[in-house]
Amino acid sequence: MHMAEEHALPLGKTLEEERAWFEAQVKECEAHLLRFAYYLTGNTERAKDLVQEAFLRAFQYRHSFDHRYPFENWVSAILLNIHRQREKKDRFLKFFSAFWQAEQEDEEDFAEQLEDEGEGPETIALKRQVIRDVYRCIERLPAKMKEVMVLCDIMGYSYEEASEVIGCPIGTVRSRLHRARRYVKKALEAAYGDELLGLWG
Amino acid sequence: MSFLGFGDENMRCREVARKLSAFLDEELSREEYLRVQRHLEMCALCRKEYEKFALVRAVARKLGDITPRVVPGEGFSLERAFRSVRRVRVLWALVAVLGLFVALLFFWGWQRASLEEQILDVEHFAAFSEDVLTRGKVRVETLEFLAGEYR
Ligand SMILES: [Zn+2]
Repeated sequence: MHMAEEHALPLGKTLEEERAWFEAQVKECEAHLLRFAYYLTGNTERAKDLVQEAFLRAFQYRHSFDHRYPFENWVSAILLNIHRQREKKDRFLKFFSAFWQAEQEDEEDFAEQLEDEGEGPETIALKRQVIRDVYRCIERLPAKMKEVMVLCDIMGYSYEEASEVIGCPIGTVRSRLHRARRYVKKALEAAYGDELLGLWG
Repeated sequence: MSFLGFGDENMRCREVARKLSAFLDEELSREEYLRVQRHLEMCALCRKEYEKFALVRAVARKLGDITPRVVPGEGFSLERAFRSVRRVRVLWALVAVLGLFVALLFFWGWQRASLEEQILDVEHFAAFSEDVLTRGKVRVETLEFLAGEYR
């Protein structure tokens, strides 16, 4: 926890002070939360909306924030809860609506951003393909496995931090993450066979 | 994979397979970590599994590095968030008022219609009873006339 001293202080006395404190916190972790939301939803607009809602709810419940923990993880936990509620609602709607139109998924192919570090066009094309495949696998994982994989692998959280965000024991994070990776591994094995190990330098 | 394992102090393949992911993240106890490590040095099959797990993790990490271009836009501001919440609330209030108005209109229309029906009923009844009465009267007159004839 390398947060500046002023952030570790309790909330301000007046509403103005509280707002100022909150907005300073928000500025520090907004980009991070947007990434988290993006990987959960797979859609830019939904990600923005989710972050907006999470911050708003965080502000409403600012007095329940425990200053010994990072603000970012606290809002991440709120964001994850909102995401879960929305997913539940979406499933409900999909179940009851035969005319449900699948929302247009994000067309952005960010594998294109993977830079060629002098590996040659063929290698980089293959690497991009692997990234796309892994992303697609993670997208299709069951919700709980997806959460840990996004947190631990994509966002680089430790098991302990992930368990704080998800609200479960560390052992649960460990087993879910293992199952998630095994799932992705099996999908890759099916797609690439014996060549799999040669794909990534 | 060998189900016989490599002796007692070493782990068996199946047990190692369960711990590969945590081994990769160094989230095992020191003792467990060393045991898995020793097993991997000896067992080529588990090593291959380990490498596959490592690959999955490496690709996912890379995925995290190449951040999708989520444009944060204007950034979050409480002021704006409150304003949008208020806007949504006002919108809902308008919808509610409109709904209420439409409901009232329907109720009023229905009331009126049923009143008109009642009026029609009354008129109909009046017409009917008048008819009966006149016909009754005619009948009486006829009877009287016949009676007079008879007399
Ligand atoms: Zn083995």
